Amino acid sequence: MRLRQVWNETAGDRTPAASSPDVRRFERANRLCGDSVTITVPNDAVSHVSKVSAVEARGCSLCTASAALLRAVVRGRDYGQLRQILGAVLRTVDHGDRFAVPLGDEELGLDIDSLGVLSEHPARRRCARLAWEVLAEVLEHHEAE
Amino acid sequence: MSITAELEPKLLDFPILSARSRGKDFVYLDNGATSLKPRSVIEAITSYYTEYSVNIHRGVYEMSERATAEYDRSREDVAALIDAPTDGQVIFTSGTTESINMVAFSWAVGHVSSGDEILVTLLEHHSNLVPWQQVCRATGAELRFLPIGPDGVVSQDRIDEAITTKTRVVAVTGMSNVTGYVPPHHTIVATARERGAAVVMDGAQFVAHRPVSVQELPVDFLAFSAHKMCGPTGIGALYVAPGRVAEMEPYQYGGDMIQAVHATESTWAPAPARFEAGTPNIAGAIGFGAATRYVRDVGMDAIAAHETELGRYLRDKVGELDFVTLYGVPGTGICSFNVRGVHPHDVGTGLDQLGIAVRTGFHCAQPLMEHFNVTGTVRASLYFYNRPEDVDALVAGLVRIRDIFA
Repeated sequence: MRLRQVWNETAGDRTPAASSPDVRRFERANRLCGDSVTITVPNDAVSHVSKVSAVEARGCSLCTASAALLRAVVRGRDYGQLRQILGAVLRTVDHGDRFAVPLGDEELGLDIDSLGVLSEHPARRRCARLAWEVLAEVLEHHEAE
Repeated sequence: MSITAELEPKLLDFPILSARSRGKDFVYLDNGATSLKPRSVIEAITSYYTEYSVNIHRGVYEMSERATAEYDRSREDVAALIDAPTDGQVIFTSGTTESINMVAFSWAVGHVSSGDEILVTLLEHHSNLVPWQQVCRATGAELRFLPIGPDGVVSQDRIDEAITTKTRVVAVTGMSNVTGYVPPHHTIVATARERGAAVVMDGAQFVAHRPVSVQELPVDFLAFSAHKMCGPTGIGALYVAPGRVAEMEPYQYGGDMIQAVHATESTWAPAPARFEAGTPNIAGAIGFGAATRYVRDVGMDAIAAHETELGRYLRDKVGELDFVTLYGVPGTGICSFNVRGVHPHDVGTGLDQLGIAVRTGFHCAQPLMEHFNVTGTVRASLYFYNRPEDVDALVAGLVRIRDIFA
């Protein structure tokens, strides 16, 4: 999946799923621009975030593309793997470190690695970070439980 | 069109105008956020720090007397800029935000109570909305909104019914920081005075871009910042009309604002010192004074005329692009728009790659964004040193962005 393709697939606003007793929604908004990302997890999801029912993003191309990458990443991963991936993604975005976590999908890894260009654009890092910060909340919640 | 002949030499006063950004000529169209600084202001601040960087008021030595004199002179210069009457007060603050908070917590909380109304508009910057929300929470007063139309224009015929005998405060922007729209101030002020309401004006944009006389437009409080008018950041002023000063209580206490301090009680110095607790931003105030002298030398009428003309060119050229949606109405040097199908941040980043600085997002005016039903806009905002070539660069940049995202 090329980044350009991801952008096209995620263009346009999405309406986050409504809350229900069966799911828990994690949401974070960028206070400077209103962009938001929501991750919906079934309440009975125990060991795998692969059960995430939705990753929804509303915002700029970076925000939505980054959320789309996250959506692709969470499929089939357990919480331990996601913690490792999350740390590596944030190092790529913040410091331009090469993203080298094996994902079993080379193109997906390269797309995440391309976020490294943001290390030279501090004002836009928050756009790409937003989805991953919501994932961090999901992981923290899981740890607390 | 070309830049007004008398303004052309002024471009040389701004060292940063010859800078480059992303390897390109720097095109600055974010004057609504802050203005660039001319040499005279930079030198006034540098001169303080290199020649007499001592404290004011308390020193009995030569340098302190000089610093005090320069500080006091700046206050007179700021008062002159807004044509303040001699019995009004100009209080130095950290900027418009602190000025409005000072009105809210030094005056409004003691003069507004349950059953009263505070009237604002959806045009307001958060700094002229959130303090009033807090005053309402503290006093039980009701926050009400002066209606605006789909284009963000105050409905003139609704002013009379919106300002009632219950209205204690009308807090209104002098010029919208999002659209540049200037509300009908004279009608608002006249109606408010008739009903006994105080007018608090957010002059952050207005005072920097238009000639203002608080004698011709008799607001009760006028808040503004130095950095929007060629001055330094971290300094601004609150003008308080005669009669209102005596109604204010200090909300910060400490050195410099006292008359006498005893073990269990104290008395306050006369205004404005009463409201300037602690060592003030001396360099900032001196820079502020220099900035007011600079813009008055350029001429506030000339600034307004240039921005109106160039603003029309900006709005016309951007409006000609069939992939752009404009917001607000023409008339000033601020133009908000969106490139359809492209997020404002992406437009901003695309323009940045071309060396063009604009503002994107919701410009600290989230309720107005909701009114326009957008998550944000791109805002190009002019000052007197902008040229038609800057607008042409913006338009070319927007076409390029459309091509990339199409």
